[in-house]
Amino acid sequence: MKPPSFAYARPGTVAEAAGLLAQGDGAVLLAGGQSLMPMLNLRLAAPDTVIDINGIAGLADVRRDDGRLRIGAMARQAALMRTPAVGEALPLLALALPHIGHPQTRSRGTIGGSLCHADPAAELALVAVAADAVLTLLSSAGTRTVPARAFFLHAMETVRAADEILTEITFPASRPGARCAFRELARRHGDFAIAAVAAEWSPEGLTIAVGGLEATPRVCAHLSRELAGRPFEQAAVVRLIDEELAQTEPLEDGVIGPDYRLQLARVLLNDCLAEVLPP
Amino acid sequence: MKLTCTVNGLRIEATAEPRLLLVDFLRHQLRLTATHVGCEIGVCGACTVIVDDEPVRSCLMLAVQADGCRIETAESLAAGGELSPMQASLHAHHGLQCGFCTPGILMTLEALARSGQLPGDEDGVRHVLGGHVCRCTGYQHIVDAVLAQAR
Repeated sequence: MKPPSFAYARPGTVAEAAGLLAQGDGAVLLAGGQSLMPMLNLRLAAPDTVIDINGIAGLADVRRDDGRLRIGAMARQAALMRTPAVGEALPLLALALPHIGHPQTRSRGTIGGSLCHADPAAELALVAVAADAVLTLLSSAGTRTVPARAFFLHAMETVRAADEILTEITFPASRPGARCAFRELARRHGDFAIAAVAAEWSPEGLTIAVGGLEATPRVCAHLSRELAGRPFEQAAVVRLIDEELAQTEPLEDGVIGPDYRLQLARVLLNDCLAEVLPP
Repeated sequence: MKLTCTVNGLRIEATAEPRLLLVDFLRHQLRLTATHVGCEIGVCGACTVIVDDEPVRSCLMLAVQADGCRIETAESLAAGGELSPMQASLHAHHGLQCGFCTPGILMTLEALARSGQLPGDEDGVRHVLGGHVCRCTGYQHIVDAVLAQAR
């Protein structure tokens, strides 16, 4: 199908975009368009106004800043793959990027668009949560920051208000000596992940998170706490993974049942832990 | 809305309704029908064109977003009637049957080859082709054609 009719605006500044958003309901932001455009074409979305933020300068910058990496919300996934600072400061993000769609969608798809779309299977949401990123939201009323771990409310639902624009995502840089792993399983490469796992180990601690399994990415707090500072020991890892997964509410989408999703999460968690924990 | 862009080296000034997709602008307004419409949800890859040197789904871009952009379609490849090296390789390896997916595949390969990102190994080629659906060839002959060209 073709998109329904809408008014189109292409603001040149974030303030202008925020002003347009503040004018009322029925407006949506168009970032990379790799999720919104299919929804328009399928007429699952019928906005009064599409506010195209691709013309705003400075919204795609990547900057290193005092042990952090600040990524503009409009940074394209393909551009991030080519940015050396991403691989250096955030190896976990660098590992996740090639799993997102295909070269032909990563060329347009943005980090901010993916986070705001909040698909439960999204790789970028999982990495933002695992790496404890902080999101900057701007509206005509001002700016606020929200930790990624508090940003996702439910599938396709975030704390971003209708008049807010996500402008920047700030990641703490990976610790020195960190080991990262990212694994996902999808029916075909580029499809939505049935389950995905991101893990980062360093001598100071362990963070492991799972996406696709539930409505929002989950930081496996129990696993991360219990396994920090310990070597990989198969029996203990299996027991702790089962304890962690016992607390989850796996998605049921009519195609992939909760048991299969759980089993995949179990395997991927185990594989990632085997990869990052000391032997 | 007015838009100005470059398509296959030609400067185009046109008007388009905001909801018009780039692929439909190319096909219906400019009559460049090499770019095909498949799924219209960005999955099949038939509508892939090059926008400012990147391979892009033209069903996931509005025509008005192409304002100020440089667009290339498969019509640009055999300029002068001579097949491009990748077109010739697909021909030589029987890398197409019905040809519906071929223009999109060619534009992806062209963009990657130009930026030095065309993989030289089979896994890499299959990863790139993962963004295109072909129902005829089973992909093997396309992979052969790309590998022959990459080497």
